[in-house]
Amino acid sequence: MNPYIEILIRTLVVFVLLVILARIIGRKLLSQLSVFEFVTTITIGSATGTYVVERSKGNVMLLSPIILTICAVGLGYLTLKSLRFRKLVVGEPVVIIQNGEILEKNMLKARYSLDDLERQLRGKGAFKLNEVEFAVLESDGTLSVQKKSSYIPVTPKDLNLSTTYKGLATEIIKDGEVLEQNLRQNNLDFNWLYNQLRKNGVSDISDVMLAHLNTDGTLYLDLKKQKPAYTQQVED
Amino acid sequence: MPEYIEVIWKTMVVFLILAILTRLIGRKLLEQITFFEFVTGVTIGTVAGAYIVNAIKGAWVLLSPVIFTVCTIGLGFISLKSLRIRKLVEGEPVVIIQNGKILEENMFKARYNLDQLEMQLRNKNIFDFNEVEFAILEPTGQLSVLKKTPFLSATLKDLNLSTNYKGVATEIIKDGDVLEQNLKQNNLDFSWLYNQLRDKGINDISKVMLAMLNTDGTLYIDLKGEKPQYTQKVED
Repeated sequence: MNPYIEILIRTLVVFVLLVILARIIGRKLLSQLSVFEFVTTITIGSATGTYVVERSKGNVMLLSPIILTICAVGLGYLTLKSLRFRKLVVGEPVVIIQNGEILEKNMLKARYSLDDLERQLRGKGAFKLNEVEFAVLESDGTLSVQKKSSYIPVTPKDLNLSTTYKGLATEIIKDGEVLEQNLRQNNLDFNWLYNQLRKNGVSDISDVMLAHLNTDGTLYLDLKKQKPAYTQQVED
Repeated sequence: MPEYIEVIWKTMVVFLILAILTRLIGRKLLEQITFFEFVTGVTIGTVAGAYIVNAIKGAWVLLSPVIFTVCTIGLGFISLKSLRIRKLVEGEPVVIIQNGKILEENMFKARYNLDQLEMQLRNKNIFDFNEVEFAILEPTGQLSVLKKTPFLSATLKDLNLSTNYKGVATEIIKDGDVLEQNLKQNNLDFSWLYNQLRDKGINDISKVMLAMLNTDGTLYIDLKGEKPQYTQKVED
């Protein structure tokens, strides 16, 4: 076969395969991947890359990325089901500061230095160790910090203020299309929507970029052609 | 041709191609990259590496990274245009906690275990499940959390205080150069700038490291050579 056509076909096959596998594994960010997932990803990538380059090897090679994906998904279910297995594979969080005291022994076990601790505390906005009640080193290497209650931002509860309920806003219109299911979930219908839009001076639904219904009944509307006087010019 | 010269020009060609292709795919930090982009990147890297190392292959191997980039960009455009394809390729956010209740079924579907949930809540400074109204697992693996209203940080609105408008500050001088366009956007001119600088005792624009105009009309100015009494010495 003509090498140009062959590489075109092989690349397209690999691309489609990767789209599907990535969808199955999930669209995680690299910062959310564990070292294990990272290494698996590199293995999948280099296997598919080699398949594109090595014309001598057959399509059997594509089995390897598929098997790796199945294993990764299977491992996910296993860790979901068994606590002990999860501890073994993922590890567990380590308490580094408890009631304001640094636990040296736990730091040693986690191979975690004071410089690491200070760096991650600063990253969380805790520049004074006095302010820290608890610090937990998570299994993914991030540090969770609980400040002493007097250093936590004031909440309405601290001030004994009453608040109104706030839930998730519901998408009603997206890219000019009405999401009917979401309308029905809120016991609303098209009539209500048309009235609301007319009140806001909108006569054509396809003009609406995004409409969100907040839990207090207000509507957030963004029109497609709405623009501030000056906008940034994105050069490419 | 001597081998080392071949390696040099091949490497340079690959470097150039990769620089162009990655620019086309878009600017992103490594930690913002999704699993799919990462696995594609490894595949492209493997192919490009094989081109340099494998003596037998011709330049046609380099077609593969180009096809990959075209496909990636194409898929991006399609999923931008169509809601349905976006859902198919990228997945959708999964509600994990609704009105304070954990949804086990959704956790199972998303292969998301309780340890991960606790960890990501702690990372958001939430050590008490009672404070959570909604938690949503984003397709990128991040957790978005809406706290119950009494536990949200008190805002000026809660306290019924009036506030001034606050927008994004505009850069006026950067590295000693005046950004004329930004001056014009705010309906200001050079004589205004000179007056402002003279008021602060500055008579040479090139001495200004950074000048920013805030939306309340105040100016932030940092001069070159301005320094606190003690500064950190960065060792290299």
